[in-house]
Amino acid sequence: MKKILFSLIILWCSQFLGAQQNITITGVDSSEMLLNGKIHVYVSLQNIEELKESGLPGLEDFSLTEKESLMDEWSQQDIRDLQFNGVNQDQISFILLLDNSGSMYDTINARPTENSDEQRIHFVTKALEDLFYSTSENNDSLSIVSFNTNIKTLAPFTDSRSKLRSALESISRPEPDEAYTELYRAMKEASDSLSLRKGRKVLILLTDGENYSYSENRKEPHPVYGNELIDLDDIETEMQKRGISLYTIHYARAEDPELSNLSDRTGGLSYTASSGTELLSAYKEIHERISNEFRLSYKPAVSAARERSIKVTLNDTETSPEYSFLWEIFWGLSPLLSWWVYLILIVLSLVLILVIHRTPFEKVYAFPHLELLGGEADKTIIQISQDKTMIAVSREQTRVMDETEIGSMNSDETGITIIRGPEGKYSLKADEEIMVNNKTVISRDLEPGDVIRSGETVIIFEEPPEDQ
Amino acid sequence: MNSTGRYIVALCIGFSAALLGWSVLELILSLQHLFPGYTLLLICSGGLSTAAMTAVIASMEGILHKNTSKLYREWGMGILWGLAGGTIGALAGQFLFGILLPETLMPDSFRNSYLTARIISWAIMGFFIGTAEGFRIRSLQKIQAGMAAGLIGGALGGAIVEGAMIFYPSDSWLKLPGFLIMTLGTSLLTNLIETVSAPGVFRVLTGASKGRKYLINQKKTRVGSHGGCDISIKGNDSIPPFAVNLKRRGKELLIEGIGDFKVSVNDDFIPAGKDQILKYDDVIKVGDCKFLYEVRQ
Repeated sequence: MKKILFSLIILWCSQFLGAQQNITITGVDSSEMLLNGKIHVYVSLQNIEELKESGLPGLEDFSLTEKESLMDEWSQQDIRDLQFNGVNQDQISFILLLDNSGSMYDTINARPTENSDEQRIHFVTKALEDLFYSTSENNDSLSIVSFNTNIKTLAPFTDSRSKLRSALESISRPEPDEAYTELYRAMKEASDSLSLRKGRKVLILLTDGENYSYSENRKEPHPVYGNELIDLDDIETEMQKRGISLYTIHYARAEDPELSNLSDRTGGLSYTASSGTELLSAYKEIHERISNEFRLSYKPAVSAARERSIKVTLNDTETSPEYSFLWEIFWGLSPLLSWWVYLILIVLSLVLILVIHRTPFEKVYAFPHLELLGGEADKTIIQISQDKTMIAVSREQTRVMDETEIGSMNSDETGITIIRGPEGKYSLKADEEIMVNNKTVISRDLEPGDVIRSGETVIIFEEPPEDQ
Repeated sequence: MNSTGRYIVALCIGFSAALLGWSVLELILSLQHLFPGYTLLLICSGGLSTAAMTAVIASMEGILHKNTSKLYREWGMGILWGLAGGTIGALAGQFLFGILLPETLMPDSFRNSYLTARIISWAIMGFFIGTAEGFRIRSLQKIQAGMAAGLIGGALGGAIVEGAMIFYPSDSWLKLPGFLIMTLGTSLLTNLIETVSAPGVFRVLTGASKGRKYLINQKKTRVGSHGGCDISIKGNDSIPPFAVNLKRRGKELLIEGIGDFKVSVNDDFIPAGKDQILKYDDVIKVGDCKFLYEVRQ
């Protein structure tokens, strides 16, 4: 009896554990966030084939919780929309990232060979050809990129399988200098390229080796990339931000734990294949999995947090592992101070503007005067307080004289006398011809605003209104 | 006011604009959790902060000439124009930041795309900040000056702030020096370009505004007692709302009375319906108000 009970408990537990892994978030697309505020979450169910027969879950069967990654509190979010086959096929973009380093020209058992039918690359291209034949009715977009020391786009995004097949023919054995494996850089460039695509974005990496960069191992700068090295953590951040899933196929070698973990964290999977058949099977499984995803759409709460974590639950029993993605507002970080500090600063700046507006920029004089312009005496004010004000004007200076100085004027000086008449009217008399209001005169009545010019010196006569 | 005075005022206005715009932005960002979605948040943060800065920068002439009714119109246009510019700038920045740049323009790294998106976005905002007054008075020369100054100021502000944020990524206050560079650059450069490109200035010779200078940098400058005139003469009953037109023809400046109004140049009246080419040092009398047409300094 105890044995039966124990077996039942184990069975119940394993069923529960299995259910936990049945639902996985495989990607996030935030490209429509600005247009309609929505984030699309792609969800994959492991038992999808069974569900297709028994009935697919509906919107009400899913629930979604979200939290800022550094916080502990999860909050329920409304799912606005649900689609099976997450996106239409034409909205799925794959990049097939092919390792074309020197080791791909060895046999599956890692022995060097010149027989092309025994080389790993042969099985890879054969598997891909078969894949393209078997998916010729599909209209999803694929691009093929190969990498060794250099990174080469063999086929840009296309839904034409014949073009993809032709592109495979351009794969050639690398020269000795090209035999390095710029794996991380190729992943980064593929991620950049996928980020421009709308809808579901998937990177399928096929490699038989590890990152083995030119500059690190050859101890000299890469001809194109110099000494810059790519960090796998940065690739993960970018892929999360862009909602790209990484599927890794380790060909003819054990799994690379770092790449496998990265695949998991981006909602993808990793496979090990040691034959062309296994390769084709892995490709097909990935393709099938993507095509059978659900797309849940929700509007996230506004916050300054860059990184968010989400979980999706099906029928309140099966919950996906936590999935993190990045969304950052253009303005960046939130302010550090309280909102009222900025309110006070707004008031202060408005007061400052008012003060500038109210500040008088021109000085008003309440007495009749002459204002000198230009030269060292610029802006000098000569008050006219007597019935006769005499000034001597030369190129160097303008000075006020009294009557006793008239005889002692220098030869380059012009004497100008401003005379106040009995009715308070002003007139001007000069020793020689001068300009008043751009006209040559030797004497004339003056009005406020008249401009007297002698040589280079400009003098403005002004009389306040109450004196006129 | 001489050129130095104009630059000092431009400096003060640029500083006030940056402080106001930055405070508005930070206030909105500190209350962002109250917004229903990111799009509205972006529109409000970009639109309102740029509207505030544009309004202040656009009001430079109104402040310099103590023309309150002109000031209100400049603020009105500045707010509307800035709202549009800030919205476009912020949305474009977010769009470029999130979608466009990683491959097309800046393939190297995430940080570079962020930097470039910001610089482009700030340049767009600078363009709107600089051109508001030019569009209000439909002056191609002012638009060109504002466009050049705004684009340079905005791009420089964005570049310096983003450059600094590479070293101090947690310091959100760095937006303030960025705004300062943008608004100071825009106001000072606009002032410089306008001053250099103006053929001359009208200096007020009489009354309470004596000493005030008006840059003649438009194709057509209107003088009158109306608040909407480019040179508005207040408190003088002898001057009609629209009294005189100054028109630029190549390097020449022509003056004519509007309608029956007679304007005098060097104490001689210009017959109604006729115009006259002005020379430097000419004294122009409009009603009781006199101006000296002089070379810009």
